[in-house]
Amino acid sequence: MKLSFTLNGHPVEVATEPTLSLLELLRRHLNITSCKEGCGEGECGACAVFVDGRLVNSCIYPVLSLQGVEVTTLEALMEKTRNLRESFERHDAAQCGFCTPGLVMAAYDYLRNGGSPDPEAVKTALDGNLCRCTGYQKIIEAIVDASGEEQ
Amino acid sequence: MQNGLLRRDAWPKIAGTLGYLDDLPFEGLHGAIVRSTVARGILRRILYDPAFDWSPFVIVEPADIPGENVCPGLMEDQPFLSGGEIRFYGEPLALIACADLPLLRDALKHIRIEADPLEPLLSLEAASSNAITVFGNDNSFKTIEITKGDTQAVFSDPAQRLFEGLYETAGQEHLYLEPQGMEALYREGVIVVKGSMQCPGYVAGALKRLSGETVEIEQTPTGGGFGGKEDYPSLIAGYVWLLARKSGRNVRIVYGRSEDMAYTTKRHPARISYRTAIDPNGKIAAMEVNFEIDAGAYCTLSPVVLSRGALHACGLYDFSSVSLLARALATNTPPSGAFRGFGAPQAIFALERHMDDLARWIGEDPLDFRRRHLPGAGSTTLTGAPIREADALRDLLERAASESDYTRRRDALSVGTTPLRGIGMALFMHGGGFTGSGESFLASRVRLEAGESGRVTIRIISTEIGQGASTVLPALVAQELGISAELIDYALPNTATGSDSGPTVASRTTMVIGDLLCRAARKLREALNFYADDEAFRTALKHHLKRGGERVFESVFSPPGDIVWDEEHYRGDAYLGYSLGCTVAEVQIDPISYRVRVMELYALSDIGRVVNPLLAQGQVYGGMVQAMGYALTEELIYRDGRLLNPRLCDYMIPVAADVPPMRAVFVQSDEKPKGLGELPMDGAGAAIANAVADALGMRITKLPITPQTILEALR
Repeated sequence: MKLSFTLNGHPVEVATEPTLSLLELLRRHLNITSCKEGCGEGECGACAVFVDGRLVNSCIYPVLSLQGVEVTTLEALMEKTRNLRESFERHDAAQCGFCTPGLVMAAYDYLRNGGSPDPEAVKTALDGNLCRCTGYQKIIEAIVDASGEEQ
Repeated sequence: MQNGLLRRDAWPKIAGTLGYLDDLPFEGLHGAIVRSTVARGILRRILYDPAFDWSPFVIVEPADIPGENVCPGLMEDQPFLSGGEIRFYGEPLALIACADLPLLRDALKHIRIEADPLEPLLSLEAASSNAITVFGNDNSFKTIEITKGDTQAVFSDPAQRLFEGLYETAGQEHLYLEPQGMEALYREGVIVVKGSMQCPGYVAGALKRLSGETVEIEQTPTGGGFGGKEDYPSLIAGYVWLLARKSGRNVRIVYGRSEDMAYTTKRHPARISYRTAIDPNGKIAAMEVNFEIDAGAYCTLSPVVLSRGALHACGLYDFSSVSLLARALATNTPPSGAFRGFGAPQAIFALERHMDDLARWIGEDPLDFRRRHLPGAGSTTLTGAPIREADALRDLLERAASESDYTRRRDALSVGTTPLRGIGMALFMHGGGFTGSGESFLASRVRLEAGESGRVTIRIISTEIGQGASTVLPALVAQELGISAELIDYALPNTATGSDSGPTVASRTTMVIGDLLCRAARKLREALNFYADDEAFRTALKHHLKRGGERVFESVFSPPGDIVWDEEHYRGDAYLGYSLGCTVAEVQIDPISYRVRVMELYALSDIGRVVNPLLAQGQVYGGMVQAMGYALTEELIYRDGRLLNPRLCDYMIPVAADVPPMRAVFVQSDEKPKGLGELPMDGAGAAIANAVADALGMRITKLPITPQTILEALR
C-alpha cells in the first residue's frame, strides 16, 4: 500500500506492507534510529514518537493510521530538547543509553504541557517508560532540574 | 566540574545518535534460530514444509560446523546446535537466514521439530532429590565442601539450641533494554563479528573453536548487560558466523524481546538451608549450610557462580564453626548464567534473613544481634583467611545504623500505630574480581598507546556497557599522568587491536583493570621529561616519540604476594579484597492486596576510593532498584520447561513510580578503588525482605515476595 504523511516537517511517500508498525517503517525504511525497539509491544517507551502532537509508542502504532498525519521524532527536536538533554547529561541520567531517547521524548512531552517540578508527578509521567540501569532517580532529578527552563 | 566526571558517551546517547547494533546500516541476510519444542528428548528430524518455497533461504545444521560444535564454558558440554539430545525447551537445533525479515518470520512457522520426548527434570527440588537423573550420578555439575572448625562437636553438645531455616530465591531476567544481537560482516573477504557484548575475548575464544580460525571481534555500543551479555553472545556470534560462512553474505541476528527473555540465561534459582546452633550466650556456635543452585540444562559458568555464592554464604561474620555443602544442579530449563552479583544476592538474602530469624527467635534486635557477630582481631573468613576488613565493617554498621536512624524508626514502627510497616537491614560484602585464582589465570594485560598528536589511547577489550568504564578508566589514567582526561582516548574494544584485559564482569574493571592502567600510565610518565600541565605533556609526548621512544606501554596482572589461595582445599584469601555494604529498607504492606511498597532505601557502601561520585551514585541507585524488582515483583513462570511470561507486560520490573526516596552514601576506608557494580544488587533484596518480615512479624523465606508469597506465609 502507498502512504503519504509528514515526517519531521518533510512530506514523505512510501510503499509499505500494511502489517508493518510505525517503528519498523521508521527504522528499516526511513533511516530514523533514535526510536528503539525495547519490547515491541508498547511497554517500554523506547520507541516513542509524536503523531499529530501526541506521544505514541511507535512499535504498536499501525502504519495504516499514518495517512496524512504528522510524525515527529527526536531527530527533529534537537533544539527544543536542548536544555532538557543538557540536564540529562549533567545529572548522569543515561547509563547504557538505550531507553534514553524515549525518556527524553516523555520528559519533553511532560514539560511542554506544563508538567510540575514535583518529583512524584514526574514519576507518574514516566509510567510508560522502562529503564533497567539507572533506578530512575537521576532521570527524575534531571527532569525536575529542567522544569524551570523553557522547552 | 571535576576532571572527566561527566559520562563521555552521554551526549550521543541522550540525543539518540549513538549507533547500537540494530541502528547501524546493514546489507545482507537476517538470521533466526530453529529451536526445540520439548524440554527433554531425542531429536528425530526437522521437518521443512514441502509446500513452502525454501529457495530464498540458507539453512545451517550441525554438519555445517567446520570446527568443534562446542560453545566453551567451564565444562564444554553445550553445543552451538544440538543434533541429537535435547536438554531444554528452545534449544537451538538449526539456523536459517534470508534477506527479507517478514518472510524469515513466516518461514519459522513452516518448520516442525520431531523428537522423542523424555521426562524432563524441571525443579531444583527434584534435581536435589535425584528424582530424575539428567547429569552424572546426582545431577551435580559442581560440588563444593568447605569446613571451618568442628561443627560436629558443637552440634552434639546438648547446651546448644538449634534453629533451622530454608530460604529460596527464584530466577531473574536481566532485561537489559537492548536485546541481544550480533552480526557477521565480510571485510575484504574475511568475516568479522560485531555486536552487543560484555566480553569480546570470550566470543573470540568460542569462534576459534567453532571455526578453527582467529575471528576479529568488535563490540558495538551495548545497551546494558548485567551479566546477560557475558557468555551468551558467544552463541549468537557462532550463529551469525556459520550463516555468513555458508551464505557468503553478511548476516545479522537481533533477538526480539520474547525470544531474548525465553531463551537467554537467567539468575540461578537457589535453595539455601541453614542449621544453626546457638550457645547459651545467644552466640552462633556452629552452622551447617546447604547451598543449591539451579544451573539449568548446561554447565555454563555455574561452578563459579556456585563458588561465589558459597563464599558469601557466611558474610564476614565471626562464625567459628561452619560446614558447607554447595551444589550446582542440572535441570531441563534454559541454562542459568551470570547476573550482577553472581550467586551473592542469593547467599546474602538467605544469610541476612536467617540472621533476622535468629535474632527474633532469641528475642534480640537484629542490629544488636549483628553487632555481636562482627569479626574482631583474629577472626577469619569461611576459608580461614584473616578478615582484614573487620574494623571497616564495624564502622560501616555503626554509621549506617546512625545515619539511617534505624533504632528510633524500628521502635516507632513496632508500637502498633502503623501496622504493616517494617524496617530491615542487611550487612554484606562483595569479593572484588574473580574468585580464587581466577585473576592469576586470566593474567590480564592492558595497553596504552602514545600518539603523535600528543594524546594517549587505551587499547583493551574491557567494555563500556553503561556502567561507565569508558569514562572512569580514562579518568584514572589521567589522574596518574596528572593531566586532563580529555587527552585520553578509549578505543572501541576489538580483539585484533586491544590487549586481552579479560572479561567485563565481577566488579573487576575499575578495581583490577583500572589498577593495571595506572601502572602502565606510571611507566609512560616515567618515560617522559618533566611536564607541568596538559600542553607540556603533549609537547613531552611528541618529543618522546620523535626521538624514537616507546609508543606502547603495557602492564600485566600479577597476584599480590600477601594474597594466598588454595583452590583444591578452598583455603585462604578467596578474593583480592572486599567491598562492604549496609542497606536499610523500610516497607509498607497493603493490608488488602498484600502488595509491598518500599518507602525508603538507604545504602552505605565502602568501596575504597570513589573514582567518580556521580557515576558511583548511579550504580547504587540502579542496582538497588534492580534488587527491589528481584525481591518483590520479578517472577518467571514456567510450565513444562517453557517460560510462560516472556513479555514485559507479564514480567514486572520496577517503574519510576515504584522508586522510593533513596540515599547512596560512600565511606572510603582505603586509598585504592574497589568493585562497586554488584554491591547494591547484593544487599537491597535482603534488606527489603527483612523489612517485610519485620512488618508482618513472621518469617519470609522466598523471593520474590509477591502478594501470593505473603498469603502463603500468613497461612
